[in-house]
Amino acid sequence: MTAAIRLRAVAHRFGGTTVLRGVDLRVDPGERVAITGANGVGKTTLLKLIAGLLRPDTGDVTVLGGTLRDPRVRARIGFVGHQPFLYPRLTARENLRFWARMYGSTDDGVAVLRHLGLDADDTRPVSAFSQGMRRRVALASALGHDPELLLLDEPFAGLDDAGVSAVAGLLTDGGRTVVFATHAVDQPAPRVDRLLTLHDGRLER
Amino acid sequence: MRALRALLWKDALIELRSAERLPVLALFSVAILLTLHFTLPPTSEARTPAAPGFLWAAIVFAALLELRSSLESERRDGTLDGLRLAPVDPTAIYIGKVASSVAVLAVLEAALVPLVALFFTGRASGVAPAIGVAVAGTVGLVAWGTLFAAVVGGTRAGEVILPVLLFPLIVPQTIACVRLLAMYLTGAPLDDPATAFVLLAAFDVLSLGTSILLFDHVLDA
Repeated sequence: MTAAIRLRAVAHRFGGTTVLRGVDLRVDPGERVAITGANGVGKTTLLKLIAGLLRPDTGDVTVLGGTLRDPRVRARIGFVGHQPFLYPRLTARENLRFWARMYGSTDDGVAVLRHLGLDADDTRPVSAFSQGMRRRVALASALGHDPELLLLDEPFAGLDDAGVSAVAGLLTDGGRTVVFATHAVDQPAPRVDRLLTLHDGRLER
Repeated sequence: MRALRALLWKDALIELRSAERLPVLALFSVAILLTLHFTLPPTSEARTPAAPGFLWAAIVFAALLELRSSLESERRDGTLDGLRLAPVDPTAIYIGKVASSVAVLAVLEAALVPLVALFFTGRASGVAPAIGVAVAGTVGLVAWGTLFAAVVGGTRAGEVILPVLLFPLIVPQTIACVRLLAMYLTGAPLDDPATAFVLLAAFDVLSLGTSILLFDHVLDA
């Protein structure tokens, strides 16, 4: 079976600081993996390396059987980072429509947005939204093209209890591969298959 | 084409809704024209022949502001990473940015050229072709500028480095544009206008072609 994510001896430095030192990871299709660790330990860097936003200094990253240079691979990934990919001047619906078009999808994620408790017909620009509302829109946008692999950085940050439950429910739906990073292990979270801890630049069980 | 249409639709919607860029660029350009105007004595006969150069200087400095804000807003909002992740050809992202900046600057030029004709040269007949020349010059200027704005984006010295990289490359466009603008706005004779048009078009094609080839690598760096 081809791994959904395969990292071999991945190392990454920022300036003189080594953030990741030889990370090996295999995530199988449909698996849900949570990566925990203290702030600044490199969780975001690891997710960005998997998503292709960063390149490893050494080692290699394979995602969905290919490289992230291939747009067909990128089309099968959904990513929600610290900064939601949202245009502040556009409404939630306009943002969803824009990203759906960029992914060639006809489903613009409006149903997901409603499920997350936001009115898709809201005429306010996203800049008027709270952090939690923006994260919901970002998640709806990332799910709009029905990705096989979903990468989430602190998906529960800024969400109220209802938001956490709604997001947790979405992450366990559809049998997709999910990898998310969180610093709060005690937070209500979706049931995961594996919980990994990033410590001193390496992943530990 | 689908991605390019989406990018243009998004930029147009943001521009219409914010109405930020154009008024700022217009004020800035008028301020430059005024400043340059006052560098000449009130009765100077140099005012008319200098007008095309003043106009091009105002356009270039306005373009620098536009180029910085166009990609910086994507970087600031984190959406540039979203665009990099999307399964679209980086050429579409580049062309979308160039087209949106050229459109903004073309609107500005449609207002600036008649102003220059009115206050500097007093010759209205050449306004329409002069706007065409200014827009044609802007294509090459923005083509290089978008590439270099992507190169220096996110760096502290970016605002300084961008003109340092850009200005030497637009010298041919500057020469061709100013001569053609002079021909239309002041009636100054030009021995061989065809050569100036060919130079302008050639540098537009060269700057667009080279930047399209390099933009993918710049975005990925």
